[in-house]
Amino acid sequence: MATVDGGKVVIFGAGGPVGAATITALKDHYTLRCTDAVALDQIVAAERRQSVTAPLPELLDAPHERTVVDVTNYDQVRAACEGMDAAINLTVLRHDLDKAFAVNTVGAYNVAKAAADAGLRRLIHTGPVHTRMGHLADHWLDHQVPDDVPLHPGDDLYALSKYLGGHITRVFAEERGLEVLTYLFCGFRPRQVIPGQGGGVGSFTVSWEDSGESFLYGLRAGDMPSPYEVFFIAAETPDRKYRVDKARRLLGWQAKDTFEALYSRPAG
Amino acid sequence: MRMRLAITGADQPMGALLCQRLAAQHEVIPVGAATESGQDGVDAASYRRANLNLPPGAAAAIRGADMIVHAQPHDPEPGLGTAAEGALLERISRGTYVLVQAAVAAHVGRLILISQMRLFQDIPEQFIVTETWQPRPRPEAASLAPFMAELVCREIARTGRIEVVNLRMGMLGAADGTSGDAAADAVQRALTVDMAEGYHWQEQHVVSGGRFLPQGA
Repeated sequence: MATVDGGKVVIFGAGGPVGAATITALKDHYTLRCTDAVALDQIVAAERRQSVTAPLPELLDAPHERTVVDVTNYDQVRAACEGMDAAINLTVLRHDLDKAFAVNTVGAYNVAKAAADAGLRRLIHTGPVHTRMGHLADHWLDHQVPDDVPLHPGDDLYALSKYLGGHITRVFAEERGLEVLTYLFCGFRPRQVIPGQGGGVGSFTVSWEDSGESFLYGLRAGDMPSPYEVFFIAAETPDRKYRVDKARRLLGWQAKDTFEALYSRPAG
Repeated sequence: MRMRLAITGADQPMGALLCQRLAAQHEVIPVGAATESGQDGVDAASYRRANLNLPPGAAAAIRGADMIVHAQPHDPEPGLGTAAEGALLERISRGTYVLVQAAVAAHVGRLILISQMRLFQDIPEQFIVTETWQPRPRPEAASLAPFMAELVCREIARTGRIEVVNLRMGMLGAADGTSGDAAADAVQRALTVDMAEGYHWQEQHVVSGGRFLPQGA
């Protein structure tokens, strides 16, 4: 049984906004080992936010831990997995050639290998959905695109290097007995909708808060139909561009924040 | 038609063999990571040492080439230790990405990728494996590396910016591998093969014996 109802969870890339939301969602249910390439204390002290509205990670007291881990270094990743029940990989490097393959591809290899070697029950991997790639083989023209649709990253450095990491993780799931859930994200925004502000919401958007809670559901979910399952993590929107029902069916999760005010005409 | 071919992996067995065999019909630019090729039959004077992970290095390596034969992923050298595994994966995935981007920028119309038949070695022997089957690499860097090269090439080819012919080959000279003649002949044909129905990606298995030999061959 790969369900992780309690115990210890290591988070790679805990210093980013999804990491911050995940810490908030998991801290009362699991003992967390929060890791990032940069010390979390330093991220918080410098207020290194990804964007103006992006959350910063909470600095948790013991028994939680926080430590510096470079996912491009297998030995560090393996040590971070020791004694854990599950791992969450939120690491990402988007536009820097010198780091993108190292973090997004090799990092995925190191995390999957370490999770398998350490006997972890479940790994939640993450990556992007790029809704518009600028070539004819993307899914921009389609509707009701399902979670399991093959991604076509084109030549985009970020999309392609993460795509490779996803395939590596799938191979480990299929061959090493590791159960992997891969969460795909696109847009994020705060939960709060301020009247008069906004002006629409993308069709693949989730609140920071809901993104964090999705990991709680992912850890607690029952056995999956196959060792590698992909989930769109987004709020349902009435444009029907993306289906987001798989997370509801297999994880029991759906976004609470649906942002109707941003795509509905004002009453009256 | 005589072409100028940049052949990567010229410091490894497959790349070196292709340099040697194709030199009779084409002008060959051997490209390798090592200081010297160190392989028989590779012209030392035309050898270009290049770090394909760096855009200027890749651009210089293929300068003047009409087409590229990317043989480096066929012979992944994992080295020892987990750091070497990561280095190999980055060298092949990033190196292939940078090389294909350089080819697109240089208006090279086609790249011939030399990948590995070992991607199918764990499929049960009773099955007749063809090019349409999904590769099944092992969860090991040396097995994943040629698969990474395939994915990079396929996804960029899908955008229509370059054509890629993916030739999966066995080990040179092995009983269930690929002979030197078969390897060179397959590359020669791939240089001019028609791409089917407008697709920019095509796959062929090139084997000379063993379980992967096409039925009726």
